[in-house]
Amino acid sequence: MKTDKIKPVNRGARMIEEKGVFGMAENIDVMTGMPVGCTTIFDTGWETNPRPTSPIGNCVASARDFATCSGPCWWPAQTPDSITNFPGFQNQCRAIARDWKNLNFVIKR
Amino acid sequence: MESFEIAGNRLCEIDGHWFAFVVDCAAIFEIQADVARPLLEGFRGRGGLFDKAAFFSHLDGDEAHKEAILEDLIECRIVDGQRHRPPLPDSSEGRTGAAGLGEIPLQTLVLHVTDACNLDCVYCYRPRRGRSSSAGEAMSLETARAAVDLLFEKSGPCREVVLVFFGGEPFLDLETVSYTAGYARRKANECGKIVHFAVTTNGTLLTAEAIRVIDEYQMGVTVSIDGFESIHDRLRPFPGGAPSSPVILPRLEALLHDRGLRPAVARVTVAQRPEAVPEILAYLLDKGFTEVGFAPVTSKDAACRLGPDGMEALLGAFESLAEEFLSCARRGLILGFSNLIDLVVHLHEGELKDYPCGAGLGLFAVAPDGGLYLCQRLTGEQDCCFGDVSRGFDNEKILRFRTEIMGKRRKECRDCWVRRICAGGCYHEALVREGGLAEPNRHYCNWVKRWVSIGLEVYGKLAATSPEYLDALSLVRGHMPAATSVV
Repeated sequence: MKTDKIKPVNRGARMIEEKGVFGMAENIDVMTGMPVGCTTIFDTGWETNPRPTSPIGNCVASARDFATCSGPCWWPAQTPDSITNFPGFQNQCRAIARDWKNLNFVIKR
Repeated sequence: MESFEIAGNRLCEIDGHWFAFVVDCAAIFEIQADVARPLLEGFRGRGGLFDKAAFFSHLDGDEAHKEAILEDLIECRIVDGQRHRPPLPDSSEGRTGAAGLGEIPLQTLVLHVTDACNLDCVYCYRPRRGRSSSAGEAMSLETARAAVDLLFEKSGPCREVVLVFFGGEPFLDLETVSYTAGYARRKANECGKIVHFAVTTNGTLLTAEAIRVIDEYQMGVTVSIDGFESIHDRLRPFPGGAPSSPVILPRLEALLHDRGLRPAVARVTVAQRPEAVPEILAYLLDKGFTEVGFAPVTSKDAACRLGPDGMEALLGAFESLAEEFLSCARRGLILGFSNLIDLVVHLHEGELKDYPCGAGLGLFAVAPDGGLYLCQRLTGEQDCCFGDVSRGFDNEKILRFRTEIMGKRRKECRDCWVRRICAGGCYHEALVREGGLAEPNRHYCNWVKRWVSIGLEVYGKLAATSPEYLDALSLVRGHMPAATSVV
């Protein structure tokens, strides 16, 4: 832990302290409130409701969508760039079906 | 103690020390007051959600320091970093998610050596009561052997198993008890396992011979006794009404005299005069019992059980015993009040329960005819029959039961901060009072929350002043000490 303000007292607390934070890079800030701004676009359901123009249906499986369809594709603004600024971002989500709850917002200072 | 809700977790101030109780991890952290008070402010507005700005505004130090503290709080899961958190260390792994798990190893069998009993306790939940053992009511040696075989066969990787002799009154059939224990011990040697024995008795038949058997097999003894004569004899008479204390007390003398390393505990059913509980504890400890556990009587009939006033008085009695426990702790002594020891150790070990007890998981009861039941209180209930010792377990029925319990209780208890400690409570009590095994025991929700609060307060006081005492208490209950507590 970073400070000495919190001390584990029982076994459950010690287990948490020992496991530590999994895979999060040091330079990522965490927002604990709801996000605001124009980059929050959720077009949920499109993958199950084929449109008349490309891409019709899914390019990839839904579970792969977030990681694969970023960059030059669907989610350029929504996914943190894992090349330059947030190289460790994907570490928190090694298996998306299991770890998707770890995905969070980032602020680059 | 002052206790606050912080988005589903609890923040408590105990004698100037602040503790956070993280419900889904059963984790307890001590937080320094200069962080705890701002933390409370952070949860005051915004409908109970965490307000970082409010928290920061009450904290001292520069931005970096504040952010570091917040990160620590998130890492400890005291504050939910909006799902920014690593996978939970789940100590209940292997015991939960019944639908997704394979067979859970069998660890304990409770054998109804006989259905007969020589007492006529007013609140007894056993459907059949008779004066003495008869052919139809007693377990045959063949069935007993089959039960022992099943226990070892289904124990999987467990190195230690437990056999409990129960009834009716098990010492009505001392030969069966003795034979079965001998058979189990030989079987254990063959399998390279260890078998522990326990027996629950009404105390009337603790003859020299019975005590010899107890000692030979190092049986843990639980005596069902309700306190001093005036209370006990009204609740636990012989058929016809004659008092049982005059028979039991001399037997107890013989059992408890010089017990040494072979503890005996008393189990008190509280049906009357709950305010007398502290006196009863002192009386029974004085007799030589190592510990005494109390439970309010379970009954469909409102006239036979403790009403709301009675339950309130019981909680008051438990609270005053908690004070006494602490005063003993300050002198390095352990007061043998089982209910509190169990609770404090539970908190210290960070146990996470998804089920209220081992019944239907690693514990089952065996009826005299060999039927396998959920537990000793539910023997005879068709819905709770999961096979028999000859043909084995009905695994599908067991899985359906586990799934139903999880589904019903988890859903309803979802927002309760003691859900991983209570898990809805006793199945038998639920069947009698709520109309179904899977129902949570709503009638004592508040009582349990208040009792756990008392336990938390005791825990906090001990954690602040003598944490090594907590480790010692855990050892008493058979837990290994944490590495950090040694040296």
